[in-house]
Amino acid sequence: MSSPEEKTLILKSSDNEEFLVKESVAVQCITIKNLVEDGCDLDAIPLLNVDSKNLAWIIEFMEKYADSTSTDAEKKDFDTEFVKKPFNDVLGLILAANYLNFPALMDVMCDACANEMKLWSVEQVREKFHIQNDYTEEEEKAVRAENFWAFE
Amino acid sequence: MKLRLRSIESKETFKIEVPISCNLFQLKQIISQNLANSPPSASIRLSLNRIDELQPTSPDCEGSLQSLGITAGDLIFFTVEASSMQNAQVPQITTNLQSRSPQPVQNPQTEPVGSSNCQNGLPSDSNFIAGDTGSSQNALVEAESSEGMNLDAGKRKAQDSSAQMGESMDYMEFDDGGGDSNDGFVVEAVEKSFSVPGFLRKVFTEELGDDSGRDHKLIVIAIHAVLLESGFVRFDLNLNKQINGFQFQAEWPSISFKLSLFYTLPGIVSHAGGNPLDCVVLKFQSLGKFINVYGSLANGARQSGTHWLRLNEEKLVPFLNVVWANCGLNENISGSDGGFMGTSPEKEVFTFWRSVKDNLALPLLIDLCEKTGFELPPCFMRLPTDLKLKILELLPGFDVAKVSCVCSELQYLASSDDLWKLKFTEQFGVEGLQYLASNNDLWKLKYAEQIGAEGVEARGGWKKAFVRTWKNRKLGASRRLERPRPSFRYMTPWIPRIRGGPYDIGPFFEDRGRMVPGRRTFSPLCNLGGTNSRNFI
Repeated sequence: MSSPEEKTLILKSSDNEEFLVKESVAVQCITIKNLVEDGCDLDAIPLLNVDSKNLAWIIEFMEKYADSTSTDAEKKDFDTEFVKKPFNDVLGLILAANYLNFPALMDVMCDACANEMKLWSVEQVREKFHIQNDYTEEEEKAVRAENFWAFE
Repeated sequence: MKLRLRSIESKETFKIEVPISCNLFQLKQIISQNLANSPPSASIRLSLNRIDELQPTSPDCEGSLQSLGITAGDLIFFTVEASSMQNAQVPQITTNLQSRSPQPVQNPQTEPVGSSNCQNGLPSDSNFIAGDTGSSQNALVEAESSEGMNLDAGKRKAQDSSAQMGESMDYMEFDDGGGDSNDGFVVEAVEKSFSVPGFLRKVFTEELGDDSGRDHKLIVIAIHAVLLESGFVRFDLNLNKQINGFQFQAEWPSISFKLSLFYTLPGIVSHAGGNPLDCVVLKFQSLGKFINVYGSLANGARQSGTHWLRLNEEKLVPFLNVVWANCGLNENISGSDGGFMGTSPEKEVFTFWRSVKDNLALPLLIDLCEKTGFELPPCFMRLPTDLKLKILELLPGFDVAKVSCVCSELQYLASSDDLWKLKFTEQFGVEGLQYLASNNDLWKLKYAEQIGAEGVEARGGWKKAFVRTWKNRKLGASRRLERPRPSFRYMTPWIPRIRGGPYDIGPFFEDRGRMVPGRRTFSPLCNLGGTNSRNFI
């Protein structure tokens, strides 16, 4: 059901892959929406901070969400499956969604990240996010003491 | 420099020490001295890859070993022969191989001319198959019959072998391996989102051809695929250059095998030119139905630690085979869902993918990036601050407090007062806010006692309020009512409350049940200090 003015945009990832997306779908990303509204007349919209892997995922997500026939329950199921990715992919998608300013995807991915983090202990957070513990022993004791109530 | 010498016939290895300026002739002499029967050094043939004999660079054997590409720690194969190496070696090797009884290879496979990566920790009793680079019709032989080596002379032992040698397969050209995989992957990405099974299939097809694959190979290739997808490329330590495609040997002993593979990043390769590169090494170890994979930084960086993963080969291989066998089918069924089908093999494979990525590929990537100063892959700390905060906002209060124990930056973020106001409201609702507001000053003062933690530096703000209210709720409403509210005769500036020790601002009272802090009060009304019993019950 595309109107006569239905445009197809070409989105180009950072590794020069081109993706065809309907304009109505692509404007869920506010960055793209702004570009279109500002009259970007390039053949392809270059997205320098998004690689093809992430862009493909994002387009998949956009199309699902732009689809008016899919119910909320279906979208929820889709989300549940969509977020089952390795952490760095989840974080990569968060970064990409942030760059593209795509609120729906941001929410879903940040939720997924937070849900994972809820299950982890301090050490697991460090390990899974590869964060260096930069506390000295005393500092660590102090901060744990301060937050002891969270561990009860 | 130390060198390892391995006899092609007996597989025995011994180590020798040679001066750096040693040349080939001298090396042969040293070897001959080390051998039991001291053969004449002229009859010793040396090779790095068991095919090409090491020849002196200049006619009078003056070239040093280093000019031949030999460096410290290298493994050099030797054989004692009277005639030329190539002709004589083959029967010897054939005999040698026949005398062992390795497990049958289901389908033979070949690889281009093995470079000296075969020395890098490959099992000593693996059958090394070599083919001409660029030749696409290398046929392999069943190991039980006779091992074929495609010699430069074009002799094909394969033709002499028995039934298993039915297939002549076309294999990917050496140089096309990497390129094709990239192209293939990208083409797929255009149509659908990145799918784990799709990528796995692609790599399987490239590396294994029509080979249904032995279990070990399948797992190794699958892990190799994960690393490729994470941005690694395979790397030849000795030649100091990137390998496209996979150098595979046809036969791995089934009981236990060991394999080491080196990976690095393309950026590092292009950066370093001809210098030794930083890389990571993956070591595979098979133990019965499990495979252990150890990943660490190569070049002896002990402080980086080793990342370890154990895979249940028995369980995993069927699923990998299913994924591979369903080439093309699942893609149609799943449509735009890519790899996210509800089918069990896909799920299993995906779990495998995720665990390898998170436990092996990503830690190694981060270690390597940290060592070489390259930009890290996406990880939590790379997120912009507002995104980190956004995620923290989604966590319940307790988890925010937990997160602040992780590192100082997260502690800083997690101590945001606005964040805690949000958490407070979430946890205790609007009533909590009202309750708090009515007790503002008191609870500020009583915070430390309620928490009862020694050495806690209590802070003002919403986090305190959160904790306070939470604890009070825990203690129960009744108890709260029992405590009369002290008068507000004084406005005390907030003092860090440290019990005991030289910094205590008052006598230490053990009994915390009573609301008796026993501290000095700085009050305009009472400048003598000490306890003012009127204020306490």
